[in-house]
Amino acid sequence: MTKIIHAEPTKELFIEMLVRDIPLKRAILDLVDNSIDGATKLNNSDYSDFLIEIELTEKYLKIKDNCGGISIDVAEKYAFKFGRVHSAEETPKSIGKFGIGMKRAFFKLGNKFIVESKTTTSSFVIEENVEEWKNNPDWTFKFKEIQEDIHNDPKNIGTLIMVDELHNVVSSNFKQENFRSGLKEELRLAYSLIIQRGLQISFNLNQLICNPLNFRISSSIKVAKTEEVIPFFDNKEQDSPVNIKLYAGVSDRRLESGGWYIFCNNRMILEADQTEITGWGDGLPKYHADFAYFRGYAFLESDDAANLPWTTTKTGINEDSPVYKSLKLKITKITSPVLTFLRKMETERSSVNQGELDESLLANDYEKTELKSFFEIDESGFCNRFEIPEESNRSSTLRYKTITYKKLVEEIEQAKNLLSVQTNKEVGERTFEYFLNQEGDN
Amino acid sequence: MPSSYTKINYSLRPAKAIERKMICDSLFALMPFGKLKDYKYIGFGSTYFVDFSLFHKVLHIQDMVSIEKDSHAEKRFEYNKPFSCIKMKYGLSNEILLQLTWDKKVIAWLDYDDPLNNNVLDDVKNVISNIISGSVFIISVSCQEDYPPDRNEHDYSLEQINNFKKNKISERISPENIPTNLKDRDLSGKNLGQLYGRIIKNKIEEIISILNSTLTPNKQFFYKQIFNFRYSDGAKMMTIGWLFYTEEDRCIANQCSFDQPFNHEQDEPYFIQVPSLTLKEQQFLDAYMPIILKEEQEKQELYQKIQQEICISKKDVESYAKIYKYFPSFVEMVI
Repeated sequence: MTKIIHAEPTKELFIEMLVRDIPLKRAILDLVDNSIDGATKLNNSDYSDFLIEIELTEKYLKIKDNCGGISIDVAEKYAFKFGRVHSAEETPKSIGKFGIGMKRAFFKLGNKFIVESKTTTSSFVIEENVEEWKNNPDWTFKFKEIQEDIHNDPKNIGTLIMVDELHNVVSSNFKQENFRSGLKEELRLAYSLIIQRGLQISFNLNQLICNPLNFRISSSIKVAKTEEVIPFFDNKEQDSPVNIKLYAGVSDRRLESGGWYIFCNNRMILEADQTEITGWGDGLPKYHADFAYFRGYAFLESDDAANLPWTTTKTGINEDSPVYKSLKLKITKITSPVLTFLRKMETERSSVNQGELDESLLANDYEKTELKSFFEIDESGFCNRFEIPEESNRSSTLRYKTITYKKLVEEIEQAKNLLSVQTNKEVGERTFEYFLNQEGDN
Repeated sequence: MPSSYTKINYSLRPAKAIERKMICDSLFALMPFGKLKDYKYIGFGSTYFVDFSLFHKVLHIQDMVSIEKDSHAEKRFEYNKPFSCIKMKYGLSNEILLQLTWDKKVIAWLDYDDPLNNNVLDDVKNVISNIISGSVFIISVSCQEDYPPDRNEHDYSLEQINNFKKNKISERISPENIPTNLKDRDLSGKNLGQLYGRIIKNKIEEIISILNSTLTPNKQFFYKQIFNFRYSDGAKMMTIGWLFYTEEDRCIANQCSFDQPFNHEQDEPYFIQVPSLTLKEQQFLDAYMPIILKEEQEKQELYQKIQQEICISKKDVESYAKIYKYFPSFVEMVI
């Protein structure tokens, strides 16, 4: 008899292991992603009919939407399945793709979850106790209620997700005011593009306002824009190409806001990235205070979410993805001229401070820029390549800088005697000249 | 550090001058890709612009960009610019290369005085990720070995010297760009140039593989090495050059005949050796050129005759025979 090795997964893998890979706030975003995918399926250009209400207390998390609900067929075959099913019907431009987010979020948050769904023709309720489910050898969830071939009022369709009996650590986080503020901000950022397109999200009854992506522009300082379609990767022509739009320019000087923002299918996955992932210190100089004016927005879209370079936690980039690697080259290319401009502007400014320049033309140009929401900028605000405006003219080929340092009075007097000079200034100049005469090349 | 133009007049470096003419001569092979005058030349012109003058006059290239890091002597560069078609771009090559437009075929010759370092590798990356099919990329770096500056006063052991060399390399080149199986002997003599060549090639491979991973097969990039020079006008220098083409242009690339003896596709470099000859000697030798057409016995007799008549060794005559068409003549002129 042939011996075989059993490699079936354990429930603990899902309940206790995979949950470690995702931060708590992001797990909640995974649940919201489901609602958004529901809306995207119904209308992926205008979201103004859709509403997602998030309620979070130290006892439970509730997410209620009017985004179409889950059909019984989808619930049976895909929604609760661990992992992606290839035969699943695609929702173009969806966010969820890996078949892991919702279940992982349930396990991460608490011991009990309830999913109530109403479509136009069906309704169901699933209620599960995770501890009991873990001890049950079956990999099934049971419908608590189910109704098919009915007529639900279109006003009432949607999904309600509730996680109860929260884990202690989750509950103590949910209790903290700052956790809630942080989560609210994360929601605002992650969905800012979709909120911009009309989606209403409320968090503990507060309506979220989108985080305005912005640039400062003028007639001489514009936003560099490139657009490209990648139809071929992983050694094959893709049915769903990836569309990449990159925008790079300047905005207000804010140290924590400078950097690259990356969106996949309208969901932000990297916020103000200042690391090697977007080329800082790897192709571009390392991020530092002079670059706090920089803003870059990358929008990646594909009908097939699996083609986008995100990780299953959607907190980051899948760095092995060819799309990402080629994106990184493009990012370096579009970013570099903006950084050159910022570096030159700082050099000019410090020359002005040191009295070597009367005025900085670059800084003047920057002062003339106006803050604009990204969505308000029309074609005249964009260009293919960031152009550096005219620089201040350094007329003289001889340039001077000032050196200052402190020395003991007695020593300075001694030097004055040795040099036969009267003033401290002369001491400085003569000792410097003496040094260069002795140690310099000529 | 002062730029090298303040120290050396480029046109007086004989091996460099020969290399420049050989490169210029070879570039005619690009004809299948279209007229040379439609190319853009990108280089480091310094104040002498020798390569610019040559490529403009001989290849008729008229879209030329000179990158100059010394932005404080702008007027001097503008003054020395020999032709109006040369555009000056002031700043570091790392930055300038990314500000250029790359919509046409280029011949980019980044001719550094420095040894290979991360900035050079960044430039390699920036050029490769931007050029289009039919472009030529040439890079020159110093491949002079590093020695402790006080080695004449101290008795350093071989091991200490090797460690010194290793430290120098790792100061300039980050670890992910250094081959894993680096050995002491890779850092000495001719091998250092081989190592640099390998590091540059690895970088090109890395970038090309990223580019190709999102390109349809007929748009994918390939390259072939066309130059691999070594020479020394004091410090040891190396120059490597490649032709880049896409799969759909492969036939055109194959028609480009880079088939001169100095077009080295292989890792083994072509050494430019410049014998020290007076003008009178050169003219004497010229009368016997080309030697290559002669029979072996006839050659040997000729070497002997030259040795007897004007005391020039066979070795020098052989070296001269390889480069006589490109041999520069320098005359001091009293004005």
